[in-house]
Amino acid sequence: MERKNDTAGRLEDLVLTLRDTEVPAETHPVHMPDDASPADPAEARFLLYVGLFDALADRVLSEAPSEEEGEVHLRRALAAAMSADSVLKFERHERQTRADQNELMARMRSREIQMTERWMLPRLREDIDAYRRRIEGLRRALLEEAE
Amino acid sequence: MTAGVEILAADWAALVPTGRLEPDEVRGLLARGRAIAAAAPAGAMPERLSRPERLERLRRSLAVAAARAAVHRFELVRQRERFERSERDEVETYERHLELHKDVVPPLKLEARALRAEVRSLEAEARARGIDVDAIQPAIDWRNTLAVDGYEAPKYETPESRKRAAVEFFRRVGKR
Repeated sequence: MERKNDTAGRLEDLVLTLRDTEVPAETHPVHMPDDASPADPAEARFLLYVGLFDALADRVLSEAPSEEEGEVHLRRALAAAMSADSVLKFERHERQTRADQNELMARMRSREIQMTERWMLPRLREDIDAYRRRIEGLRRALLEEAE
Repeated sequence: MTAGVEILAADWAALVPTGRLEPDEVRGLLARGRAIAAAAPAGAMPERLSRPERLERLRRSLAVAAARAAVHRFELVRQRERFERSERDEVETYERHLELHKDVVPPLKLEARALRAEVRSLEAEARARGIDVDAIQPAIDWRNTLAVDGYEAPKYETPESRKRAAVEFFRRVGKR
């Protein structure tokens, strides 16, 4: 069975590569008709993907020499898609949670760093200067008293 | 209403080989997506379905599972920069915070503590010699200084110090 040059091969390749998250971040804009698009872009994107994958599955079935072979293609693609879905769902949750935590930690530390750099360090340096001047004055007074 | 949505260029190239979708085609795809998502099959494939029923169910399941995976991938790829930046920022702020509280603040606080002690010692000496220390300038407004008298520099563990502590622990335990 020729796999790579027909629609079934294209579907299978596509679902197998869904796990690849290192693809370029370049996107393609799809204009949504005003009368058909949901307000939420994430929902619109999901529905568009469902429609596109279903259209591709449709072509796979219509091009398959038999219903039996079409079913084999769809089963194979479904297994790969379900596997990719669960792996990517976990990865997305894990990476987003970690990014949220990292951002929170970085924000908290940045505030503390700013507080230290802009308030504590200048105050400490001012105090140290004042102590040194005071020590100088006291030593001078002690010296004068001794003379 | 959504004016437009972005999908990954890689997905666009694979799913739309013509590279173009007319508004009616988009409308049709969204309607198709909406209908499938509203009645997406759940759970295992029931037994005793006819082949057309099985194919219909497979098609719907496939479209939804693949779309979910594609949306997860879209978010992972589009947020890749954010993920990397958040890791970088976390490390940078950790290092700067550690540097400040290990190498910058402690020496200054210890110096301030030593100078405060010296001021008090000289004042005590001056008083003992009958000098009016309040008349000596410049004076210090102690209420406006940072209290560092009880300050001790934090002890940061290093791999070496941990190793030494472990060796010492087992040496003591071994003696019993």
